[in-house]
Amino acid sequence: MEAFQEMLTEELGNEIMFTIPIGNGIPVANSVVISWIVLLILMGATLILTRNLKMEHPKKGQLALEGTIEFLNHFVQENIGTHWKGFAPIIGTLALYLITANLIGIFGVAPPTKDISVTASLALISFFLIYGAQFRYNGLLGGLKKFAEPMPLLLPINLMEVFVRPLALCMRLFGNILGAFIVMEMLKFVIPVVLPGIFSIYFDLFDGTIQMVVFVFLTTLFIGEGIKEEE
Amino acid sequence: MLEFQGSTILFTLINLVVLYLFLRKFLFGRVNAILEQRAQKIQQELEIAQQERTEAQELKVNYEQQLAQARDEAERMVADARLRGQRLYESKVQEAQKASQRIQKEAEGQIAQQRAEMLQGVRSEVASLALMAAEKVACRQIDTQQEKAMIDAFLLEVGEHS
Amino acid sequence: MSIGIIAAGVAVFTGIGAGVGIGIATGKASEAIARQPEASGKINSALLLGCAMAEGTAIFGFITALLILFMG
Repeated sequence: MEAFQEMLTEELGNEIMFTIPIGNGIPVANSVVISWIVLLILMGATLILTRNLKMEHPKKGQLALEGTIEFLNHFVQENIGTHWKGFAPIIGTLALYLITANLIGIFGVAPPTKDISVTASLALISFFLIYGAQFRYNGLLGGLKKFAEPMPLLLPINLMEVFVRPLALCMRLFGNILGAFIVMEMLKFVIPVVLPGIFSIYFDLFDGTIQMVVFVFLTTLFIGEGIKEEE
Repeated sequence: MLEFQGSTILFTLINLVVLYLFLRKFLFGRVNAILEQRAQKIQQELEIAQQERTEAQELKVNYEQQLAQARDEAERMVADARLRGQRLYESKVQEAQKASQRIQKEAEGQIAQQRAEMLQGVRSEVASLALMAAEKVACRQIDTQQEKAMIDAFLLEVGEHS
Repeated sequence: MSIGIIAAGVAVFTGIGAGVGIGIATGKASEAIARQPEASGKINSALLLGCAMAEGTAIFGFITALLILFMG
């Protein structure tokens, strides 16, 4: 039991891979390095997939790519409304990064979303997106007025939501991935063969995908809530 | 493990911004451009098809008009020809009738003349025969004016009776 | 330490609420889809949102347990 706890503690900490020797030294955590790998994978895949796009007679790969992008555009348009065009690539980037980061656990690499700093950073981005959009498209006064909707009585709750939303987003992603990771580690500790593989399908594939969908969906929904006109 | 690491947050932010810029340029930009191009092309083709259909419709209406005109013309020409033929026929028939009437009249005239001549001949014959008979009967020549007149009167009387 | 472990176990009990909540929500969503299969898209997104919210409580409990275990 003690051994397991030690191992778990060791697994849970974000070790620092190396330190950039500038000033006092900037620590580069493990998760950041894995993020770079994720970035490299995504960029490589992008360059390969979009190598020669044709307007006429597209191949299967191109059709799948177009279908995905169209689905994303449609989803963003449905949830954000008229100003969707600028948001689609941001939402798509978040989705692609999250799904790759979550699913990289299959290959035995600790997913970067297990690190609370990474999810905090993601939540920060979605925080800026949500409230930036709200003030950008409603003006300063209109954006402030949004906090008093649907009625002024809800003002404190809405103001509280400003902090609760990103915190909940951050903690949800972190907690889910970390929980899945811990359960997987425990399984590997108890039964090292076969069983972890089966459970990995649920915890890595399913849970990772669901968490990506939830994060992207909630971010899109909150952005849309902030800037959508009343119908 | 539960402390926020400033450097990690910063690095992740930078990572995501870089990823966003990269994907916007190379993934979403390219694919959306293709999608837009295709949508435009489809729009254009639809418009062209629409235009062509309108043109075809116009052409069809034109042809139909021309066809109707041609048919009318043909009908008019046929009716014309028929009318002319009728007229010709009627005039010919009339001419023929007139000719036959004329021929008939001439024939009748000739017959009447011949008959008159014949009657004259017969009459003079009969008169001379009567004279000869009377001469034979009287055995003498009748040459007095009075007797000749008397015979003529008799013959006339006979002629009227016969 | 032992009291901390017990406290962590108690904190993780928030998961009960989330489990019950998600179960109810999914059951209702299934009923709704059975009644109106054509609205399944909207029902699914509402369900996803609700589940995410309900799950949030469990996650907060879990984080609290972790905090107690490793920080306390």
